[in-house]
Parts: sequence; structure tokens; C-alpha cells
Amino acid sequence: MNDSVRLNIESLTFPPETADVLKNIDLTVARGDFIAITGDAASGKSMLLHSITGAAVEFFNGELQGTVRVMGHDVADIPLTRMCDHVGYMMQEPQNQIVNITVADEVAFGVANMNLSLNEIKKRTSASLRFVGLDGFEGRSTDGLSGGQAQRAVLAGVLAMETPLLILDQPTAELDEKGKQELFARLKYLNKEKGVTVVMVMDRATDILAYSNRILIMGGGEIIEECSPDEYRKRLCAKSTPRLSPAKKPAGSTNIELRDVSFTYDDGFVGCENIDISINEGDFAGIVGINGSGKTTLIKLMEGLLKPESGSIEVFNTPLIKKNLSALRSRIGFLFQNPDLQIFATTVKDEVAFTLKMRKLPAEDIREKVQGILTEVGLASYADVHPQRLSRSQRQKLAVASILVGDPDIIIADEPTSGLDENQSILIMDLLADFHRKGKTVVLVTHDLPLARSYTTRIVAMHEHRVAVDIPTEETFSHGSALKRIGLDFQREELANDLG
Amino acid sequence: MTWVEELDPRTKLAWCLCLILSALLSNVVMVEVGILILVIATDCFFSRDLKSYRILLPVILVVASQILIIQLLFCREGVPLWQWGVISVYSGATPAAALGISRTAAVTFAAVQFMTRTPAMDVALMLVSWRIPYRYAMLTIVAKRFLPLMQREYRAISESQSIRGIPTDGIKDKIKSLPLALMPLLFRAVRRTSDIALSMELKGYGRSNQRTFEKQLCLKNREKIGMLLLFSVFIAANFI
Repeated sequence: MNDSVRLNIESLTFPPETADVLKNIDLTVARGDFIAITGDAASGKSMLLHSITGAAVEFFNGELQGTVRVMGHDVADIPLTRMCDHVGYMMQEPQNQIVNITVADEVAFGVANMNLSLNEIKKRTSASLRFVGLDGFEGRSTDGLSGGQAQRAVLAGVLAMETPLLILDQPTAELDEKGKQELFARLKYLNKEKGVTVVMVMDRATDILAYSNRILIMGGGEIIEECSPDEYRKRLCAKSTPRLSPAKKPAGSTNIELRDVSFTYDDGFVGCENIDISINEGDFAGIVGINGSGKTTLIKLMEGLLKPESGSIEVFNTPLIKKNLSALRSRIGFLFQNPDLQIFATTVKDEVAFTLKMRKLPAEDIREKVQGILTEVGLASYADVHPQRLSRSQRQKLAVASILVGDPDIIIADEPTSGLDENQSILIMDLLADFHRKGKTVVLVTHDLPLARSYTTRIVAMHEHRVAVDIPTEETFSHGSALKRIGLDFQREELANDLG
Repeated sequence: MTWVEELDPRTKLAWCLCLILSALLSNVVMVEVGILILVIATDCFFSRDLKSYRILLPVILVVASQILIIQLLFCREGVPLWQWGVISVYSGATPAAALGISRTAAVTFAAVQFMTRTPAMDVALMLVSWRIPYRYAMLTIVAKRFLPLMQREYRAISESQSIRGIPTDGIKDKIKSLPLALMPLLFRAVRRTSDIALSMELKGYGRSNQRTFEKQLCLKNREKIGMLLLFSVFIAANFI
């Protein structure tokens, strides 16, 4: 019996909806396989994983026609709470999976549920923490972990259960390049040395090509193609489109200027130290850096969400102080990593119209502008739909539309493509590029180095809460070694993409 | 972890219950104030961290103002001091309000002291020791973990809305913008609840009736003696 998983699904539906979420799936996962699943948004990738975990039927109340066998057992016969004997499951947002207050309790959570002896729990917990590089974190609060650390703590908890099959749903969405490579290296070790089968949904399959042995491409609820990593590379090479060249513009007047700005959070964590930076009109600045380097703090300072402890900030040559905030903010759009934090209206058109209503524009003007912007971002047909019924990328587009409609001079975007696949990311980035081409300014925080290189005119690299490198984008390779020293290997990332 | 946090949760609960019952049984403002001072003094002495009370203070002030208004409007004890139309203020209103406010503050502070000085895992273990199924007992941990997370999320939503032009500076603005923030908060909470429930079940939560806990509760002899003394003082002070 060499099969880890045997899937034979005629259809999976979620009544009262009649559309098939999965259909015609015939898949065998052999022991020791390392499978990457990729595909468009809503193509059924995550639900394919949940048909393996049994959650599709037992948790999400789906109706499944067909059979799913895991380690020789019919999933229908295994209660969800007993699935941890066979399957370790990890999803995208680590903070949504952490139950406990301390790291040690969190890692021990699964094994403790298995009712093992205290000694065995302690042994597995410390081994798992050591494996993911979190030894010494036992007593730390899970609340204070960075995205990467939280992801590792969750992985440690899953690994402690010692399941023969690991199912991972976009596990790298919150990790920087270094964190990604570390996670992949650990998974590779488990796969090669311990024989653990890995099935992973990845928004960007290019990241995982070097580790996987099979690539599944999904579309419309079906596996539309299966290929080897080499074939996948060749296919991508053939269809790769030339990258968009950023618009080259002479530096205009200064839009945002930070002089010797420092900021420390209430808990003593240093956010930024002695930052001196000017963002000029027409810049498309890419702020890059490893997790915790101070990128998000920097843009929050620029937007006035945080008040600097020392130094000064000027926006459009006006001091960024409380009395000027609302006037300045009307000229700046801020795009959050998670669109759900900023969407609150009950229809798409109301969401976009909100800024205009706040400005007390005539109803006819609002209607025209909303229609225009929704057409521009491709959401015109969803005008009366509730925003929460849109897909993640559509919600991100809606967030962009709600900002663009206010006709700002600057857009500050915090990881706007996080959790989106390549095609969705391009859609969002093209909207920002169009905005930039109108002579406006964009400040983009991103972990995605090739994306930063493709779209920006300037790279600002943060390291240990300071600006370490500030160069025109075309000089990234000539400053390669300086960037590499601070954990930003543009050449390697570029190569990985080019291989794709 | 401080010395107080390492105490058995049952000892802390006994302390908390004695204070709360004393506050409820007493009708003397000075006793209520004394209990309040005792709570703050013990926290000052053992942990030197009064942050949780600082957060609580505005809430107590709002409640206090409500108690005062109600007593001034409806208390009919003592002699009438002032009258305007149907509204009469009696001399008994202020002492009654003082007692109500000090009792509310004493009970609240004692309860908050227990909640902030007892790790959630200890509370769960205490409930398990009372034969409450661990599936329910451990929900205290989930609540303690997710309430601050939701608070942070609310702050992030408020930030995003203030950027889009919704005024959120003063308390009045915050109250006005609350309905707008509730919708995304609710959607996020529903999504988070679903994720956490799935994640817990797939980690075997509820797999069997028993679960191994990494920590075992152990009531030390000195704690037993301490509890005995505490109950003796409580009975002597309130019933003898």
C-alpha cells in the first residue's frame, strides 16, 4: 500500500448552491510525494485539500459524490477529530490557528489532544521547536510573535503530531524570502529524510519548483493539468510576458519628507530609527526588507497613523501634525494588506462612493465617478453585490477602486498582493502602475522582490529599523552584495522567476 | 511569571470571592473603599502593574455617573433637599450613590484582579478539576487569546476608516463610527472563528474525553493554611 491519498471525486457541491466546487478529480498521491497545487482564484485548490482532510463534508457541509481514501481509510469513516492520526494541516493566516497563550502550549496542543504521556509531549514539543528554529521560545506569548515566527510555531505544532501526510494551504503568504526558503528547506528535509508526504497549495508555484516532484494545475474545480516541475518551467517560459517597464520620470517636487524620524512602540519594540528619506512626485518607491525590519512602521508614520517620537515629517511641504491630518489624508490613499480591514459598505458601489459622499459631492457626480472607476478596475458588473461575496483579489481591487475614486496624489500600499496568485497580483499592480503613469506617486511595501523590480523606479531597503539602501531600481543588481547582506537576494529571486 | 501568578488558581479564586462577598455583604462605604484599596495595594506590592485598572477606570467613571444620576432622580430616603417640577432630590441619594459606586468598584476591581493575575490555562485546569469537560474549560484560553486580537483588529479597522475620512479622534467620533467598524469586525470574527474551529478539530480537539495537560494543579500546604485563615477572617468580619 504505497498510496497516501486516493481521490475519486465526481462532484463536490455546497447546497443550496448547485455549482460543482470540485468535479472529475481522479488523483493518487503516493507516499513520499511533494505536490504543489496551483491555479486561478476559486479554482478549488483549498477545497481539494479539505476533501482530503474530510472537512469539506464534515465541517463545511458539502455533498460529495465519490470516495476519498487517506492512508487506506475512507475519509467518510474518520471523524474530523481523529484525522490528526493521518494528516497534519496548516493554513494561510497563522494567527487564526493559534489557540494558546504561550508557544510551548501551542506546540503541545495537538499532541496533548492525542492524550499522550506528559514525557512524550515534552519530548515532541522541544524537538519540534528545535526543528523549526524556535528553541528558547517556549515561554513566549504567541500574541507577540512576528508573522514568520507564528507560522513556524504553527508548523511545529503540526509536526509534533508526527503525521505521515502534511497538507499546507499557502503557508508562505506572510513570510519574507528568507522565511520562505527556511520553511521550504525544512519541508524538503521532512520529505526526503523522514518520508513525509507533502501536498501544498501555493499562490506562486515557481517558489516551490525546486522542492516538488509533481505540479497540479487547477481550474474550474478540476485538475486541468499535471506536470513535472521541469515541464512547468518550460511552459511558463513559453507563455511568459515581458515585464512592464516602470515609467521613467525626472524627480519632481518632494511629496513626503522624513527627517531623523524614530519611533518605538509602547511595548518597547523599536519600529524605526533615524529615518531620513524623501519621496518625490512621480516616484514609484518599493520599500523592501525582511520581516520586522520596519517597513510597515515607516509607511504608518508617512500616513500619520503613528506619531514620531523624534524627528519631523512633512507631506506636501506641510508638517504632518494633527490639525493638518484630514486635509493631507484627502490627498493620500492608503491600501492595506488585508482589504477586509477597510471594506464596510453593503454594496460595491456604496463602498466606492463613500469617499465622495464624505466630500459632499452632488449625487449625479458620485454616480458617474463610481461607474467610471468600477469599469476601470473591472468591477462594473458587481456594483450591487455585497463586497464579502467577492473573491479576495476582487476585494483588493475594490479597495484600490475606493482609493482611486478620491483622486489622490499618492498611494501608499502595504503588501497589496499578499495572498494573491501571479495573475491576480499583476491585475492589482497594473492598476497601481496606471496610477503612476499619470504622474502620481506610489509607495509600495512588498516582500516580492521581482515584483518590486518590475514595477518600481526606486528601491528603499530597510534593515534593523533603518534605511539601509536607497537606490534607483535599475541599480539593484550592481548593489546586489549590499542587498544580499541584509537578506534581500534580488538575483536569486529573479533567477527563480526567470527559470519559471 | 510573578509569585502571585504562580499561586494555585483556587487560592486566588478564594481571595477574590472573599473580597467580593465582603463587598456585597457590607453596607458601609468605608469597608467598600477599604476593599478597593486592598485590591490595589496587593497588586502594587506583588506585581507593580496597575495597567489593567487604568483601562478600567473610565468604565467605572461612566458607571458611577449613571448610579449617581439614578439615585438623585429616584432615591426617596431622607428629607427633600431640592425640587424642580416632578424632580426631587432627597438627602439619602448621595450616601446611597456613594455606597453603590464604591461597591461596584470594589467588586469589579476584585474580579479584574483575579482575571488578570490568573493565567488562562490555570483557569481551564481549575474548571477541569471541577469535572467540567475540557472542551468547554479550554474555551477560557481561546477567549483570552482572541479578545486582544479582536481589539487590535478593531484598532486597525478604525485606522483604515480614519484614513478614508471618518473622524475617529474623540470619544463622540468613536461612538459615531462604531457601526461602520462593526461590519468588517464581524466578518473578520466569523472568518476567524471558522478557521480556529477547523484548526482545533484537525488537531484532535475533542478526540476523546480525556486530554493530557502539561501542567497539573497542586494546592500547596501553605496555600491551604492561607485559605483557612482567609475564610476565618471573612467569617469573623462579616458574621460575628
